[in-house]
Amino acid sequence: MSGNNTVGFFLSLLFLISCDSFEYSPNQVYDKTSKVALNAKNLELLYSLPQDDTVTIAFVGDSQRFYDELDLFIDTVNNIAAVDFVLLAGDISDFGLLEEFELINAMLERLQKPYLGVVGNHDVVARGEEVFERMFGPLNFSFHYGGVKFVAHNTNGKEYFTGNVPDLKWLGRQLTRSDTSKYLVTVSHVPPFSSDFDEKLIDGYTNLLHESPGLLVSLHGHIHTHKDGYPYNDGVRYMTTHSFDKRSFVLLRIYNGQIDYRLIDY
Amino acid sequence: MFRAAFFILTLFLNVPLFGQERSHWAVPDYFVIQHAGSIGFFSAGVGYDVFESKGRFSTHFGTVPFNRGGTLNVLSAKLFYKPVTLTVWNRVKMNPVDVGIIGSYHYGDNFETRWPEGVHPKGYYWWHPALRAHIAMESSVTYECKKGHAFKSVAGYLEFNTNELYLVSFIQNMRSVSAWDIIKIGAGARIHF
Repeated sequence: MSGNNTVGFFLSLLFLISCDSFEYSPNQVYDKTSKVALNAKNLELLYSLPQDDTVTIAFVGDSQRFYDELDLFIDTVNNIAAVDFVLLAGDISDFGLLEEFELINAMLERLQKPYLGVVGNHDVVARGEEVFERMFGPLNFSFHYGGVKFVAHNTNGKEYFTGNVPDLKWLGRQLTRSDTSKYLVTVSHVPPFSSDFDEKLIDGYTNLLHESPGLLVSLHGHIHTHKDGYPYNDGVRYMTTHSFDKRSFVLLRIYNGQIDYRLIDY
Repeated sequence: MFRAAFFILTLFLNVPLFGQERSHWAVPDYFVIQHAGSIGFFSAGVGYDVFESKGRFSTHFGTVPFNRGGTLNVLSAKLFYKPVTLTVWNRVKMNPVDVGIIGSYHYGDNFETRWPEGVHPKGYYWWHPALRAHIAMESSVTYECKKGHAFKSVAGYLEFNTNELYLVSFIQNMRSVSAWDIIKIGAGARIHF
């Protein structure tokens, strides 16, 4: 070890000691440096940026343990000026651990556009649900942007034994249009056609979406593969996005109630 | 927190009663307290010198209070090997690099060690949320007390650990995750009786 290396080593050591490397538990819900209410802050940022007549979304999911790929994705998105925001459809973390959320978020902060997190089944393992809630915000939330109401919600029913995930009552109240938001888009992690969706709630869920006029598409992650179609032949369009290891994502555009998209490889 | 305090109190009350004799194998050789290091905001435990004092084994109870990101309760066990002990000055000894393994167990709500059968396909969640396996490195400075003193020695240490879940995340993402991201620190003290 040369002199410079030694100095570098001890400086790194000092840095470690001075920052949040004093971990109390991998399962701790937060530490001194943990960010809070990221979804609310990113929405504030989203509304402060100029808008045009097209809503352009980088629709991604399942960043769990794919840090290298996430890094490449961020470089790619930062080169697409049209992107309004990045939508992370769940499984931000793999083990529901604070350190994972912190690492992922440290990377996401490099994005030049706002990013919104939706909860996935891996995010609620151990104390992960509390980590997510504190860092990103409520598990069920909605927002309006560009004439569209986005309804993000928790569909990770198999992680709970309460029989009320997804919360159909909440969803029913949210799936309403207004004069300013004529269209609806739902986004959640587990799609109803996955075996990880609570079987007892599939009919109620799909019927609810079917009975919601103005619903353009239901967006999901979880299955790690891009799919697009009408699996229940009921007029409701379901779309999933690739996980990060596929090194490809859905660039979704909404213009005047019409949806188009393309896959961007990176 | 209260439980931890009670635990320490019992240790202080009991150990010296046996300490002088040191005849029974079950009587611990040292008492240890630690801050952070992934086994609690504060933890306390007892340990034994093993492998003819080339190693040590200890068990700990740690807690993370609500206002530090808990509440969490952690039981842990450590096994360390001490390859090198240097004499710095007279009674002051230094162990630059002790290496060891740590097992930690979180108990309470949300830490069922298994998901119920049949909910997910086998192997879907391949790890146990409550159990962590750590590898660790420790540097310590020990002061050996004079004969007849109540304590044999006191030691202060700095410990670096990572666990299997951090390690697998790091190994698969060497380009974007740094080793410093996954190394976690604890500091503690050991008192040998």
